[in-house]
Amino acid sequence: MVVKKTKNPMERYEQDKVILEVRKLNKHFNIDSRMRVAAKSVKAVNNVSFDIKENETFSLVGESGCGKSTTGRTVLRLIEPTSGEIYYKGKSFLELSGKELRKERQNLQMVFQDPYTSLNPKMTVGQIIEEPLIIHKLYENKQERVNKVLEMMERVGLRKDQYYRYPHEFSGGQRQRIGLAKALIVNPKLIVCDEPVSALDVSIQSQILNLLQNIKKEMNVSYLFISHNISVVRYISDRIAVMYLGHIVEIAPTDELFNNPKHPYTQALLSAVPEADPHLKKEKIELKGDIPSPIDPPSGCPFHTRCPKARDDCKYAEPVYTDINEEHRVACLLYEY
Amino acid sequence: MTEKNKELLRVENLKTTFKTVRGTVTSIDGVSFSVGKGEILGVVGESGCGKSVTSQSIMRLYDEKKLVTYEGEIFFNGENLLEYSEKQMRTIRGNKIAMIFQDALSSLNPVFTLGEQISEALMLHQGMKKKEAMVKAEEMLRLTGIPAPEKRVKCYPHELSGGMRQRAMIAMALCCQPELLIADEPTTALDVTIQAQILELIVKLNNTLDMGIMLITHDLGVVAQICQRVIIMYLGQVVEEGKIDDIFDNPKHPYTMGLIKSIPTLNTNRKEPLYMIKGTVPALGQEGGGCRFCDRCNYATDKCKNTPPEIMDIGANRKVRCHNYSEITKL
Amino acid sequence: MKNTEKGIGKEAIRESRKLKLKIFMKNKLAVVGLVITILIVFLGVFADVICPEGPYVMDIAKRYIEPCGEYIFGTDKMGRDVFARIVYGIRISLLVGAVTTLVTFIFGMVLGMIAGYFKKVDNIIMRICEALMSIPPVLMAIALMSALEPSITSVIMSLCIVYTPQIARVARGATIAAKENTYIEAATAQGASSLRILLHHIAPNILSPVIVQGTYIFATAIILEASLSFLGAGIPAPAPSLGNILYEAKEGIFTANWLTIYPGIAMVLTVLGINILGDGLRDVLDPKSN
Repeated sequence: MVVKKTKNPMERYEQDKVILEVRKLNKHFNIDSRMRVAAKSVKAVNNVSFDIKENETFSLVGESGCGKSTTGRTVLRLIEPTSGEIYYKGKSFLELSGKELRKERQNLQMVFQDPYTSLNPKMTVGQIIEEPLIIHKLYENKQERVNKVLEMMERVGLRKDQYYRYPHEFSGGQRQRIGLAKALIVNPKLIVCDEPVSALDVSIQSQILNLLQNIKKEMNVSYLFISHNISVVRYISDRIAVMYLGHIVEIAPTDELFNNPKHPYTQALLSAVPEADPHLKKEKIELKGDIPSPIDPPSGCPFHTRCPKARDDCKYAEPVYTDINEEHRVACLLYEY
Repeated sequence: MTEKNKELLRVENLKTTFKTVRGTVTSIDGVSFSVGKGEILGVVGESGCGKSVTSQSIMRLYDEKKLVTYEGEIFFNGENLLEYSEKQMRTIRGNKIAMIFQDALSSLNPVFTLGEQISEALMLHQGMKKKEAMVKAEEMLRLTGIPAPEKRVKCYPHELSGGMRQRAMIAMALCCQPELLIADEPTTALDVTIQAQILELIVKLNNTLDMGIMLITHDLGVVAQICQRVIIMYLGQVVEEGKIDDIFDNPKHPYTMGLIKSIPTLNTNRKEPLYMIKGTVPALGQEGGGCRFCDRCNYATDKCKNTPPEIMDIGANRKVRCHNYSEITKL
Repeated sequence: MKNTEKGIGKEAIRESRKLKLKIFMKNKLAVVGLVITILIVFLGVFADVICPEGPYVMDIAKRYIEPCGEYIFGTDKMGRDVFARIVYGIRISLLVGAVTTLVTFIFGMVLGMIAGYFKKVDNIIMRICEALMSIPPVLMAIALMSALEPSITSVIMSLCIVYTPQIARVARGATIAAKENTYIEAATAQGASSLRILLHHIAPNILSPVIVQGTYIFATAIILEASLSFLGAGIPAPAPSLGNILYEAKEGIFTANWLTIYPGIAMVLTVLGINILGDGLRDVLDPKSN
């Protein structure tokens, strides 16, 4: 989706149902200069722009260190961005003050990767799921809150009699259900899911993915889904952005991306997925070497050090986005004219 | 039997029991399988299925005085490792049987260089001199595809990337030319593009060095791509065994079927819900009297609830632990 | 329905408590510590039942009587019953230890959590704590006592100033570790205020190490109080504390050794019991040891 400069964020929310718009987001972490001769910064997120529509699953996919998690956290202002703009329902999210921000968090929730550390071990499941209702003062009395908690527990597939149990008594999948119930209980509009299934066993993973799909249909939420697992992303997403070294290198609707990948990195990534089918011996595009350090990113195109199709000019010219079609954009010199 | 299929490792009815504060826990219960020379055997299962315990038991890495008791037999080249003394085991570990782990950073010693760590094993097992060992170490790093190995021997583990560390660990495991390599989730912590490189390396080394490899993983994709045979484990038992094509084309055990169907692949229909295995993996020690999978099985009968199934040989090198596999397969 | 739900949850809690008790009971030394501590506390609490006549009854005619049937620990230079003085001394020492522990626990937790959670004030709070800790506790306490009226309250106040930094340091470290957990980030993402995060998410999770540190403070506070009293800067005479009983005994150390031996043993047992108990508690509360 091309960000058309002609429409302002409010119009895009009202006309195109874009509930979250991110423009030119940057996050650079400073490294302590005591350790090094000169202070350096890790360029974790570079000029990232995307938008998420109502009831849409938008995914960020990429390998470790590509900045997908940082992007997700920056969108929620768990990390303050270095620069950029974020609009929630057409209103600037970055301009909110502390109290307004805490209030707005009700609409933007998060589900975390690690179901073992993301729940307070000293609270019962009931207390954990009830807490958001207390924070946002959603119900007057305790009984109403408890009823709502029990309803939500049932919704995500937990048994009512588990209300008084502690997180350590649950398996990974069940903990992820608790985390999901906690996020959903305040009726959010957007949930950032940071690798929600990657810590789970295969047989549990599909349960959680199906649950996420059902909830999306029934509760009209949008997901910003962050994952390194390409098959999972393909299953769950409506649109996908591929990230490499802090840059979005390609962004397209799911089927378009998988049928017609344009960026050499996307192509390599798709070919490297080990398929659970012994007859399918794919032609692998092997990438040489390792992902460069984001402290010292390559000049020009960030991917040129590993790109099988790199030309000389890739070392100097930073690629800009080229529209393949209305919804498919790629940042690669091969497609610039 | 051809040289290629000669049996290298045979585990018979292995049972490993741990003592804990809560009492004893039988982590694996009657596991049998074999690895041939030059073969890559996949060991697949979810957390708690005992796949790592199996490999650690083969190496006898647990504290046998306090923690663990073994039953059964582990034949390596025809000799029962469970009858070996600790001293004899030391000549096996790292020499005849080598192991690589998921987390390369914590498996390498941070205060020694790669060269020192690799040459240590060579000096210990092969009686090499320091200088000779360092040359060999460099050669091993080159074999695993590490660029500029002459520089890397002087590197400390933290100076390398994740993929490089995994290569270095493989180099260390292979330096004594082991006959069996146990790879415990070797690519789980790696990115897909790096994983592809490491898997390629493992296959290449398997071909050139002709060693048996036991690849432990939860990722059916990895197994499908590089293994010849596979065993599927569930709650401390082997539930199915067979050639890779047979297992994926025609799984017999309901758990295997469920696993294969529940993974989203690049061909999954996105409009339909994914297949689900109901319930969760029960904790060890909570399994009932019958089949360990019966609570989660869609085909469970009364017999499954009461009688634990034995693993059955059903021909064509296949085994399955299910009362009703023949009826289920017809459905 | 509600009751049965509650029942199921409670059962699990009871089970985990049972397990913790089992770990504790397995540690023989800790059980010994517990028994000693219970005995000492029993003596202190029921002092006026055990010795109804009190620690102050003097009888010049009965000076320096060796331990015998009537006075099992003998009498001192003023003819007072040493056993009664020790029992009441234990009561005062335990009181000083308990109040000091409670007060330092509260102040230390608050300061430590604030320092650990808010980076901006961390430096200020911790530097002040370090400055206080750099002075040897005995000197510090003597200096404080010389500025204050001698009384039990002053002793407790100066002990609190000496020990609060120690609790604060432990609480700060635990807070910094707890802050790294994702559930803190999750609470922030939920819109929870800092106060809520500190009270509901950090405090319950740092209690264990702070409680363990508290038991050590309990024991060392008793020793420090005794040292102060021994040096004449502590509890004013004639009130008995283990320290000033020993102080008064020093005149007769060669001629009437029961005056030093029995209070000494009482002191050692009290401190040892609490310390061993603390070690046992650490094993139970430390999740890594389970």
